[in-house]
Amino acid sequence: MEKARGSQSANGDAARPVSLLLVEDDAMVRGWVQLCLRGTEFRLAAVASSAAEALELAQRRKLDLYLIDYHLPDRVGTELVRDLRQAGSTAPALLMTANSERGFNETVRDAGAQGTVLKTGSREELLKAMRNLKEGDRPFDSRHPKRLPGRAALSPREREVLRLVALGRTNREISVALGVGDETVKTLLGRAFVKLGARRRAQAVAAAHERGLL
Amino acid sequence: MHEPDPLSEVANLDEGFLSDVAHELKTPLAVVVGYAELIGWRDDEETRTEASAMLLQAGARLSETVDELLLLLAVEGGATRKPTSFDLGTAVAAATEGSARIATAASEPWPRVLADQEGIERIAASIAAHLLSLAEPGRAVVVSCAEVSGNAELTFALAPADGSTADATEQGARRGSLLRLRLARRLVEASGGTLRAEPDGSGAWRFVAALPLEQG
Repeated sequence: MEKARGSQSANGDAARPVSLLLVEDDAMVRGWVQLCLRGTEFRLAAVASSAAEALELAQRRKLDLYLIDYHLPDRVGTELVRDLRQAGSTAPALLMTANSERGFNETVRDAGAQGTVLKTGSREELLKAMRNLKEGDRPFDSRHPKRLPGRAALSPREREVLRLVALGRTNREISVALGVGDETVKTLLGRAFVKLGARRRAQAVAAAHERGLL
Repeated sequence: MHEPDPLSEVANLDEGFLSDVAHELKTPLAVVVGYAELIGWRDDEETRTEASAMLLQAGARLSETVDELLLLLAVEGGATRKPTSFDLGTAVAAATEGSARIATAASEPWPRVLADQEGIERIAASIAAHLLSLAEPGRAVVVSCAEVSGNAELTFALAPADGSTADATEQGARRGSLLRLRLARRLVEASGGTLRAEPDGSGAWRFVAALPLEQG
């Protein structure tokens, strides 16, 4: 897997095709994206309808760019990006979603993606974001409101504690697993609760999943 | 690792639920706008044909989602439909007809229940669609039924597909959503039953709808 390559001629047509993996579970949206890309410098190398399928394809294909829907059936797009990065893929990733959501850009950036685009049905917006990404820019859609103060992303330690909470572990078990004291676990959990606006463990885990933070 | 119980999300996260509903509405809307724009930009036969099919599909999905929202509002507002006596096998067969990736486990005869048959069919279709949207290739949804403590328990679970379902794909199939899960839960409750999700032992969830058996 490589960084984005390819160049664009003055009329926007392909000088060298940019190889793209589209990850989208909705057949209607997939069809629309395919039509949008026709006649451009982008070549649809593969299409996946789930994160699991995307991970498998990413191992086998040489890709320049990922275009990923946020709401995938098996996990959210930011979790997929994390997995792709862990698997060693450095190709830039653009996350699509239908809703503008507060803090979305920050969440996407934290996950290791390079841009966002709203699914509004505008071919021009989609291609502009993809071209910016290809040129090395970071096209984060400004229609997503900024994250509220105090709602920063989870630290790696806070994320680890929440992962163990999601597995049903008690604070004592978590402290043993992480090699820290009970008080440290409580502090890390407390911080995560504040960041997620949660008051209970299950609520915090659900909120973290919802925002793609786990 | 398990995702959070999908039914607890349905119950507790109104913000997430509303976001899901907005997503369900805005995605087909974006498709309508997108294809309309494409027809204007590239007016060839192929584009027109594809756009026409997709616009119809997007319109149908929008209409269906609005119908589901209205039904959810009605059920949550206390509206009930007159229960009828029917056997669950008929309802499940009607709900899953035409799907190559949904199978029913042999458990004849299926018990009879006194409930809202249309609602139960909708529940079966929604839960099966939800599971199907999570199913990896080679997996299918299996619906089974058992009598437990005075209830008929309908179980929806993922299982390895057999020969008839292994390679099937479902073009244009209904997608899973929190809206449909919430509606399914309310419809089960309106029939005097409960809907629960439980780990299936392989990292996925199975859904169990418990419905009161017909008395006598």
